[in-house]
Amino acid sequence: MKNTPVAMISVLAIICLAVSALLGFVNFLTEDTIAEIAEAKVQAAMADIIPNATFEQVDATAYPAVTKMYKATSTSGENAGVCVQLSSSGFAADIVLIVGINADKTIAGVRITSINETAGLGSKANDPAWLSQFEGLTGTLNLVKNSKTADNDVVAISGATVTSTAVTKGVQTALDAAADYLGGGK
Amino acid sequence: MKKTINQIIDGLFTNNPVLVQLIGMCPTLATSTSLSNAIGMGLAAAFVLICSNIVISLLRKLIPSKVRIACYIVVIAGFVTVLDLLMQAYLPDLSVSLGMYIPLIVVNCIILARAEAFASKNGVFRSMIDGLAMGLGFTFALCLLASMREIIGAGTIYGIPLFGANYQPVTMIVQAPGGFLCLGILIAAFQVVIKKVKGRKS
Repeated sequence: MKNTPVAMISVLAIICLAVSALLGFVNFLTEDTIAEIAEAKVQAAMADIIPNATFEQVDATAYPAVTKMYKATSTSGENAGVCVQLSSSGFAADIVLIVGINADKTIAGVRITSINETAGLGSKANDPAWLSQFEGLTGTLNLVKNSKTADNDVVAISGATVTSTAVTKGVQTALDAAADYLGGGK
Repeated sequence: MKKTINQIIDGLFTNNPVLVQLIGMCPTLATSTSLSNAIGMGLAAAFVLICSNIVISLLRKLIPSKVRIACYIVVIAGFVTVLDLLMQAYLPDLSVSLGMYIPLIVVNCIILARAEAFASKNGVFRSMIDGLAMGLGFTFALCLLASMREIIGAGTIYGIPLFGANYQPVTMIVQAPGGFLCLGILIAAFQVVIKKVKGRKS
């Protein structure tokens, strides 16, 4: 077609409209599945941390650093603690964490649902062996290098101080929020 | 038929987008850290390349030349977003590991280069085959580079450990500097092979 202003504008506009319509349609098709997958991932991570419990989302507006908070109730109806979802800024992008806290305010477990750190260094934070050292800790966590000397020490990943700090900070924030929530006796 | 085979050989070897034309270097370096990522990224780019080549070839007589790049980018961006949404819905694991790089297919110069250099001048069938050939060529180059980097840099291939627990991986290879080193070595080796094969033919 000729390069007249009318032709240029109308062709580009029609192409844009057609592409937008296609995108709207695909979004309509996939929207629910994508939301379900995200929710299922969170549920699976929580079920992994605190087994045999049901999770119910609670109001977390009192804790601005927390994305979502879920109250865990064991199958026998007892208070099984809380799970906190939050993001902490890492070396490359936000790290999304789910932290489970038992009713006695000790950490039940930590899972990472989204991480985009340097492969081979920061990405080691998602190693279950590294994350497991948070289990059972309570109070104020202390990030150390090399080796653990006190009960609340968390050993950083060598070469990935920023990532280790981000995860530890995130866990601490979750722990504080959960302790406050549980302590309130709600 | 012969023309189609030639086009495929051209895309895979003699005119390989990454190893001969040296385009699409950024996604090549970024996603070649593991073989599974490389296959995912290669096939995703091939899908976008085939679709955009078909559509651009269909529209080639309608698009005024002065706004052609804008039109191509809208078409390409549309297909990339469709792919991104489909992957998030049906291949969530791959979508997580490729993360940022899927939206960046929009600016992968292989796709725009093939739209401009081929699809805008040729018929629909040839353009589709060109998209397939270049897409496969991109996947092939990515897989070569990723195997190299994954074996040396992580001691695994497709996530399967190769050397046992005593192997200390050379982590630098899976990071950016190692990517450049491996890519350079790979391009040099590929040129030698291509030259040898060509020399034998003539």
